[in-house]
Amino acid sequence: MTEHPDEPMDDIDLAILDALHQTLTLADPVPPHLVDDIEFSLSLAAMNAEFALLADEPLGVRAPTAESADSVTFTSSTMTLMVVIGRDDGQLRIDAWVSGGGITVELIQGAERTAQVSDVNGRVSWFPVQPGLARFLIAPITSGGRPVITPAIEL
Amino acid sequence: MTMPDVEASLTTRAAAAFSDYRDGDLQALHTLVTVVTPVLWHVARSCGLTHQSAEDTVQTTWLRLVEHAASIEAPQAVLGWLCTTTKREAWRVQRITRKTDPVEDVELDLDSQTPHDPAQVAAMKDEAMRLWRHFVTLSPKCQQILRVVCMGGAPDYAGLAEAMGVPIGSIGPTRGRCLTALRRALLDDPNWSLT
Repeated sequence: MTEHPDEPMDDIDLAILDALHQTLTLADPVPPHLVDDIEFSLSLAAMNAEFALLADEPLGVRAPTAESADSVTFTSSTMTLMVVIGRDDGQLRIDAWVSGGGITVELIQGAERTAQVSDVNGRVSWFPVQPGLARFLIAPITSGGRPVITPAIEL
Repeated sequence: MTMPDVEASLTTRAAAAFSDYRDGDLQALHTLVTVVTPVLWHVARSCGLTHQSAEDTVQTTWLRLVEHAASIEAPQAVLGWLCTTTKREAWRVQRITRKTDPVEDVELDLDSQTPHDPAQVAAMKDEAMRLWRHFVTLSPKCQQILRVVCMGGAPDYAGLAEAMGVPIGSIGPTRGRCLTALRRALLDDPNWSLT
């Protein structure tokens, strides 16, 4: 049996590459959420979404305890979204205020998306909310405007 | 809609999905992302990126594809285009990492990427572990090439190797020095056998 680099590949070579494929799939698997994240990024790009900035907590939000509530504010060129994370009966609750009434705000957690429309005070709320990573998508405030997406925060 | 054979090569499936996407079928983009992302993951990781950087790099590649979809001449070229774009973006990220964190080891080190989760290690069959031990003794360049090439089927090897910078001869894919080195190591190992 010869093993020379200039020879055409044979069945042994194909079997080795196949075994390497299987080994790599175990050793360094593709993160299970990666395809969903990519498709979300592509959908944001298709919407020409603007990325909001986290105004006050550069490293994200602490998990709230039973006694405390945390708040975080996002800003973009067209709007501000203040999010207050608290607990109600031991379950997570989110109250948020956006700059205006009648604005659709979506809470996005993985593939789950829940839309609410702000009241006259600009308030939207979600309850109960599952722990984990979350981001918000705010529909365009003006006709022809861009939607705004926030960075993900840990609830 | 183009309906490739389920056993078709990665190159062919990617080309069919890309062609459908350019014809306005948005669902085809989902197919393309699902089929090609595992290859791009290993392109990014083979360049020595961390998990987080590799994820960001692969996402960036897909955004670039959507921006430049019209400029890719032949659908058959899309797999190579995606691999090359991922590789270039990975190098760019590596250069930034080097500047901001000079102590970080930027050399490809697959050994440190071996899972440390005991359950996962146990799940790797003995043969896979043996193959892995030989694989990590190859040069970083050979590890990089084989890691990406093995993600396709036989008809994809030449294209994937070319995307990773290995020139392909006119007579078709040859074994090449990297696969030869791995093959010799495995065939010399009395404990290794093909199943």
